[in-house]
Amino acid sequence: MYRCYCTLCQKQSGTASNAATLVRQEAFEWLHEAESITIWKMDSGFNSHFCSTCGCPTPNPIGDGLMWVPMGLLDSVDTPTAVHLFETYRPAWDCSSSQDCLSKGVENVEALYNALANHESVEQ
Amino acid sequence: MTLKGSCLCGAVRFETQGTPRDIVACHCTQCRKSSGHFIAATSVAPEELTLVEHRGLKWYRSSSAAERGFCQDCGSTLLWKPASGDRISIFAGAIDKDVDLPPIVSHIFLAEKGAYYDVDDAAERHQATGAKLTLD
Ligand SMILES: [Zn+2]
Ligand SMILES: [Zn+2]
Ligand SMILES: [Zn+2]
Repeated sequence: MYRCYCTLCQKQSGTASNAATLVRQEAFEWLHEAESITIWKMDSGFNSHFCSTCGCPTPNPIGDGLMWVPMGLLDSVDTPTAVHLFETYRPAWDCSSSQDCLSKGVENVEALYNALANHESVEQ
Repeated sequence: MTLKGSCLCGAVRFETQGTPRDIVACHCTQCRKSSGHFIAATSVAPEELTLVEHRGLKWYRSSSAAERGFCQDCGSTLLWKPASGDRISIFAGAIDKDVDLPPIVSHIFLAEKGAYYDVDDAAERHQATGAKLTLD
């Protein structure tokens, strides 16, 4: 999984960073049809998909054939933080985990997927 | 100390007066789902929160004890208010960065935290609510 500390992800999550992972779309299946998802998009490509009823972030397609999945929705998955993004925006009040991640940035979504899949170290 | 904050799209904007409570991180299942990770929140008395813009604000009754406020336009996770109505929690990610808030003082509901992260800072740790510092 990765954490992004950018200010967009802070507002979306309400906390210091998001926490999410990427899976191949063929490895993802909706068990209950998602019938009430609101989609908000920025010109930059940043987007927010969420349940219209309760506001929870929801999985959504990203990059080429990938699904973005918020970690908070998953039941007891134990996977290390492989990547931190935009850590310079990490707020001073957040001291909640000092665990080291394996890499500090990626060039694009595919590189992020590869870093998460392989736990490889990639240069910023 | 005045805190200002907003959602991503600007359809919810707020300001606070008074002294905000220290930040408490809540790892309960509700907070994990609504955040996508876990929640960090300060709080003020209801009369100390001014909603400068609230056209996007939607309240979801997440349990008999509380409601969660989010922006129905952009999905930002913003507020939490207990049915008792004596405090209102403001999620720290929504607060503008021009004020440096002090570090998280307490972690609550650690019994429900995700397995994918560790809590290893100096803050108090509680398996359920803290004795004094609930997410109130
Ligand atoms: Zn981000
Ligand atoms: Zn909004
Ligand atoms: Zn909670």
